[in-house]
Amino acid sequence: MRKTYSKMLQQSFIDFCLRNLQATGMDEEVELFQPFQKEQITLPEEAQCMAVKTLLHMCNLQFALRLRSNAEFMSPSGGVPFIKVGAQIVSEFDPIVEYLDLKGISLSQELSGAQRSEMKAYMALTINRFYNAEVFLSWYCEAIAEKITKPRYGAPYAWPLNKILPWYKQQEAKKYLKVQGWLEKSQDEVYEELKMACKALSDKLGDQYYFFLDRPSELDALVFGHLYSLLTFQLIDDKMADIVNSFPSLTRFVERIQDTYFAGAAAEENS
Amino acid sequence: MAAMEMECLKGDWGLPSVNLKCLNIMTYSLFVEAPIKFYDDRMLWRNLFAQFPVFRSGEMVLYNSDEKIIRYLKERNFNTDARLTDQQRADILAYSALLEERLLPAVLYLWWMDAKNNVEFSRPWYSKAFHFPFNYFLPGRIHKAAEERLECTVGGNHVLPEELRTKIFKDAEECLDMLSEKLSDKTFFFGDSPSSLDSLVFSYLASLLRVPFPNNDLKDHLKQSENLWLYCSRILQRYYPTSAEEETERKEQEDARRTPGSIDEDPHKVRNIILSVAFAVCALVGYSLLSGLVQLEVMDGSDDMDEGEVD
Amino acid sequence: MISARAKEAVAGGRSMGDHHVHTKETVFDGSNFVKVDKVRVQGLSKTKNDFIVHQCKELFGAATFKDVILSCNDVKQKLERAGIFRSVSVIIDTSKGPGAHKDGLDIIFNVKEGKRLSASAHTAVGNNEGSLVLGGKLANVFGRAEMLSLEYSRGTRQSTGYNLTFFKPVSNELTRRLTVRGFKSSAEYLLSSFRETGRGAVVDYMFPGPLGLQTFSWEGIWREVDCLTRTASFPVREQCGHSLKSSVKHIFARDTRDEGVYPSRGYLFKLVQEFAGYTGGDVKFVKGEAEIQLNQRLFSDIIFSCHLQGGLMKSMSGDSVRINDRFFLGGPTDVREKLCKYSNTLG
Repeated sequence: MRKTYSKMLQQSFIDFCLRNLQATGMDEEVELFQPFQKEQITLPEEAQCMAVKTLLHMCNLQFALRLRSNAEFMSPSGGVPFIKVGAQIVSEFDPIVEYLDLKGISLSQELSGAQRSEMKAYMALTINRFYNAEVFLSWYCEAIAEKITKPRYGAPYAWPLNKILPWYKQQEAKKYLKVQGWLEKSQDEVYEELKMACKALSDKLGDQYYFFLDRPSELDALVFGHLYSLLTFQLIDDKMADIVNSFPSLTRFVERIQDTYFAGAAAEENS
Repeated sequence: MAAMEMECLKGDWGLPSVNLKCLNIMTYSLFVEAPIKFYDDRMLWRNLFAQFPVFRSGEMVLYNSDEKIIRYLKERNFNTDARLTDQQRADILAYSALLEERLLPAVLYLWWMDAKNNVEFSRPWYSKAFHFPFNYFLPGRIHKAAEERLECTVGGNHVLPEELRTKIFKDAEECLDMLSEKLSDKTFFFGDSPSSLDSLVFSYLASLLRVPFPNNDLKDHLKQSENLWLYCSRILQRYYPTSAEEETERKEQEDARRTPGSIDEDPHKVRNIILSVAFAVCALVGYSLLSGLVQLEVMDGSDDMDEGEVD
Repeated sequence: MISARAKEAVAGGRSMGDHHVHTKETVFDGSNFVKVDKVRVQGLSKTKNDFIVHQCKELFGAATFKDVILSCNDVKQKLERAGIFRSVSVIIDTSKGPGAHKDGLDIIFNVKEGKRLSASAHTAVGNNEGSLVLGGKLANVFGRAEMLSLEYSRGTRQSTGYNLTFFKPVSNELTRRLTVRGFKSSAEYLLSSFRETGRGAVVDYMFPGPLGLQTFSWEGIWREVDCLTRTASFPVREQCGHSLKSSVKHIFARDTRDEGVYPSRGYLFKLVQEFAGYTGGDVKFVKGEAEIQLNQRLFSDIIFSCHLQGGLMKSMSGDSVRINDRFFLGGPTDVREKLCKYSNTLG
């Protein structure tokens, strides 16, 4: 049965590509699914969702935001956010970038080969260091996990699910950290890793407006998503925000992107 | 300053160590000429789960992390990156993350997930590498750890096994292309003298090129990028000259042996099969006769008339 | 061993035919008026006295010999049905000793208690997969015919399930039963491409009413729905996730069939009402279901059987009813399911 489905999937994917290879832009509405923003979403999820939203804004794609408490379970890969375009569902940042590329929408078309490989390298750095640090701080640090992450994750459920489900998720997160060797690190070491990663990004960005050329690329979207979440997400202390704030070029970068792409949204929220 | 020593996993095929992290540290120490003593035949009683490398300097012990060891060495002024600019150092961090995300899964896959490699190559080699009694459970443990890592980071319930393989190798090939772009014509990644990125990239490339996996799709792709291949050979020749010589000698011997004698393997195999089948048949027949399942009666050809036995 | 004074005789039974039992010189037939003086039960060890007393009570109400025989048979069957005895045998004797009446009878039951702990292993082929079921049973836990059983099953499609059941007759009455059950089960709905895993507990109380069997139960189940394939339709995908159902159910069943699986006569009428969400949980609905099965022998071995099922449900919270609470057409071996094979049904 698996082989049949895999063949079906491959065939439908090939058909899909052939139909849309030359097309630019989307024919159908794009819907973005994520957990509830105010009460439910956790730090790593928030960073990823923000990154995807920024990417869609930068590509000038209109999308409808759908908030679902079971977004994580609806997603085919178990990761949020995911976008739905007609009957196609694509989840997580990298597959969405590839999908948009196939549709002819790409922010890095004009980069040279060397620049593109640098971009991929820095994206890997962001995912590897920032995402893992976020998972570590949210789910492994007992103080933060008990006080903030677990109550948020279990908020949409009734008792006793609101205790059981966060526990399961915590075990999953611990396993994810363990296989990459992050479980042996201490909290201070993780903050140090975050700092080094921020320094690397800050050095790369330097005085420029964006990482490459004078136009935003996928790397800008991803970095903005993570930095913005680190700055604004409420944890028990402001250590994360302080680390980011100690690199002024990064804070300027965050403000710039926020003003350019999210000013309208912020105004709508306030009104 | 306390003497530095490091325990690592043993090597083969011209490589001083088969473990990526150990190879990274060894190459780095050669670049900076740090006086570290390497041991690859220590008993595992102090290191029950074979977490290589194990770095000792006086009282301090560092397990399992090449980044920590390199950081320690840098603090002790064994620093190849001191002359680099901030942007270049940022690039080092980014590229090492790239290698961990894109190339490491492929190396782990080649070692442990590819069925043929695992059964025919990795398990036997690792069983020989560890001494009794660790050779019974450690290879299995390492296999399981690699499988878990791949499942958690790259795979999952939604990814079919064939898709996992395609994805891992596609990412790895892209990564190799990016490294080739970055290196272009230079001797080392950042000019004429090596950096920590060079030791890291070398450890990956050397494993891919030297370890004789039965199924190695990446080797051909790697050979197509000439600059990477030459880069790898250059470092091997410059920093591991003895082992490079040994390797070329051994290769010649193997080639000489292989051409006329490639059929050598087969008679042994056939002979082994015949012997094992014969043994099985004998055991079966013997058991059935002895336990009475089958009884043999030997009958004379001529019917003997009863010689009048009447009672 | 128990013994009790004979109670006042209740109205006697009809005498139909003769029944002769020879003991000494007395001749007994069905219409003899007798009094049961003593009932003795031998061979008990774990079983508690009050349980046995309750089962044997009806013997003292027998007025004629025929009643005694029939009551003895009833009591024997009751004791066997309790599931705690390996064998039950009855001896009827004239009563002896001080306080014995002229027409008094002594009834002696010889029982052998069965093994308390037993294990079983069997395979079952069910919805879409075969499974191996391992079980263990502890009979007569506290001495009053309670039973504790544990089952673990593993399917060919990697699904596992377990089931821990404890039931106890209430007030020593075997027809009234209190059951407490904890379980984990999983079911795959291939047509709709989802799989539901449930973990929960059920407490129910079953008793015979004037018209039929009544059951009141409470269920608390944590259900997890996830898609089987990547191509599952979006409405099914939207329902994936976790939910908690806490519901109160009432079941009324009147069953006059001779057999449960292939009945040849009789009928079954079943009415189920379920109220979910009023005792907690996050699904809220009201569901009613009715089932009727009629069986009639036509001639020789040909039996006409008709089975009708219907139901109605309404969601009491604002949302529509979840997919795993809805009604599904037929089952995997029914003709109806085969007709719907090529559509992605929601049910």
